[in-house]
Amino acid sequence: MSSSHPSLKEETRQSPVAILIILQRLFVTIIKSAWPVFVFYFINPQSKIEYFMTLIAIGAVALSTVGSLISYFTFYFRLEETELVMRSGLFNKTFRTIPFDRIQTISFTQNILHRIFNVVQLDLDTAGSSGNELAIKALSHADANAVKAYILDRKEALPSQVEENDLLQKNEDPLQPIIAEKPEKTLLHLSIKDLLKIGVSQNHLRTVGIMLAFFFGLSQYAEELLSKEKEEEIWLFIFGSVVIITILIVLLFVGAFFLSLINTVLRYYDLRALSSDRGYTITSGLFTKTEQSAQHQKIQLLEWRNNPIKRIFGISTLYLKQAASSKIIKKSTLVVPGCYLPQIEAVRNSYFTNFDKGDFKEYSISPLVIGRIVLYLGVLPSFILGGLYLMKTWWAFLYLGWIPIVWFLANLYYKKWRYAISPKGIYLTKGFLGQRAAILLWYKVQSVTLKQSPFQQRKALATLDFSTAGGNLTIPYIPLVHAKELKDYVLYAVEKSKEDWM
Amino acid sequence: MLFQNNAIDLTTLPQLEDTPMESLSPSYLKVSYLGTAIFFLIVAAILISIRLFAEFDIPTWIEWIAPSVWLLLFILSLWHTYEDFQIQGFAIRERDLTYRSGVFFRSTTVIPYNRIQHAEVKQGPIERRFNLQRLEIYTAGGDGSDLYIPGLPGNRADQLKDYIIEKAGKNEQ
Repeated sequence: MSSSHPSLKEETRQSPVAILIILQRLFVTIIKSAWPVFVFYFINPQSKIEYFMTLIAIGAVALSTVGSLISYFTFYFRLEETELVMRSGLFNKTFRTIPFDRIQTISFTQNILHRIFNVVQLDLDTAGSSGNELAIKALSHADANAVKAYILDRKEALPSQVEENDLLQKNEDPLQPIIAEKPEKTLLHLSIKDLLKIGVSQNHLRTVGIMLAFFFGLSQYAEELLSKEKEEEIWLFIFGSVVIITILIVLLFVGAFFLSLINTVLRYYDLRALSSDRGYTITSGLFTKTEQSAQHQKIQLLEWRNNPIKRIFGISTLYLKQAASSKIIKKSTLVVPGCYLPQIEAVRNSYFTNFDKGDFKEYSISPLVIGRIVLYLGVLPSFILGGLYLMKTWWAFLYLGWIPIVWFLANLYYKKWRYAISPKGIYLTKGFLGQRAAILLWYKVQSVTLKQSPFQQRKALATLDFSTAGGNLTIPYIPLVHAKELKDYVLYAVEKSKEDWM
Repeated sequence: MLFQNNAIDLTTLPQLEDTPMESLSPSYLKVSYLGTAIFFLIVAAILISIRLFAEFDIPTWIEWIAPSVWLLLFILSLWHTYEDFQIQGFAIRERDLTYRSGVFFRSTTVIPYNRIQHAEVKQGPIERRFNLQRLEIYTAGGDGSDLYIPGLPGNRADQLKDYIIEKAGKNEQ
């Protein structure tokens, strides 16, 4: 496919489909910020709000059309020997050069529009705390693959400082992917049955929260309508609302269940996790197809989590946290839902070579953490809430019932918190009802922070924070002496390590 | 004993606590006092203008409470500024850099030179007046792992930056 795309070395625009994609995105953004107006209209159609409606609709169409045309016709990029050069903007011009060796991840995304026109969005991310990422909104499949191959190829050539001869030779066919790709191994392919398991075991409470937030947004407008009610009707309304609320809660949970299920199918349909010599690639999605990849050396930290339902099914969600700028660290994390133990072990063993439980020594955190959790999350909130409502009703003391619940959970938290240390790294498990585990190699650590609250200072305890380019790992409430010893050892390990952290 | 197969003797590892901390320039204490004072003067100005121009009645008890709270907080902040200055300090070792801060919530961050991405020296207008510099050190570990050391006297920050960059460069080879 290579030599048919020499144009990428000259200034190139995106595929014209980009106009449509930017248009759609701008339009959605504008309409989203105006949605309360629409809701108001549906509740109260007599109001004169339709003028605004018309204005907003016309404005949204006009603005997004002009905006998308401008952004399409002013966006150019080209590939140089060692960097990607981009320029954009009509009045405020932006010029950006992204050296290939700074590029951490290259990923393709397709939403429904992309799929109709058979194009992809290309995202380039660079590491470092000053977020600097680039999205080319639409490119033909062939072009996107050519760009990816060219960059990966150049990246490989760079660090070894290839001799000039070599470079010249390669130049003859610049976009030819040289990488001798070994066949990729399928690590995981989700079947429909797995998909259902994941959907059923999603965190439905979170979905309930999102739905509630939506309804509270609506309730603002409801209140305005209700203010017209007369005094005597309010009592009837309150009685009615208890019944309605009960029904609503049941509906809410049923709805949340199905929403999570649908969301799971949309996101994880036909999920494949492939592993090759280079790293991992994950593709998934029903309508919006996403492809994400992470090279082995870019992976900083591994985490896996389950909840009680997932545990019954024997599945966990695996998170491969790779080096990325802090803004998009969540986005660049590879999420593999529905992993069984052998798959987790396979990924773990490739990250932490020669993993052997015998090398590790296990520790637990200080039991004093229970008291702190009960105080801050149990006693304080229930006293404050109880105190606030005590003036109104006598049953406000029921809030005290929260304290034993927190005490129970705090005990679970303490019992489940275990960390094990070896000369090469750390392995930890924690959780309340579910379980979380993480594993980190010492040489991936960027900095170490030892923290002490006033309470910890009195009790000679400390909290240790290891920060990596893929996120932090924190060990709370351990003896100060031990924390210092561990900190000194980790620094020693990092400072003597010759391995590249990525 | 940290692990089971102890290959190295942990007591021979260099301990951070052995290195004395270098404190910040005394002029930085002055700058901090100045900053605190300016902030509280602005708050006082806002409170007074509310008192003068308010369209509503202010109860007498508030007229007494507000200035006392202001004074109390002002004194506490001055005390906090002083204590904070006493605690802030940094240590340069052969292979890493340490910064300590926090009056109530104590925190000590250590960055090995071979993990430093880049370092910057900065100076604001007030700092220039007092001949102070700020050293900012960035790693790839995101916001939590970057270090900002304020109140370095003269060209100490430049010296430190050069030293650190040289060390970071050596490690790369």
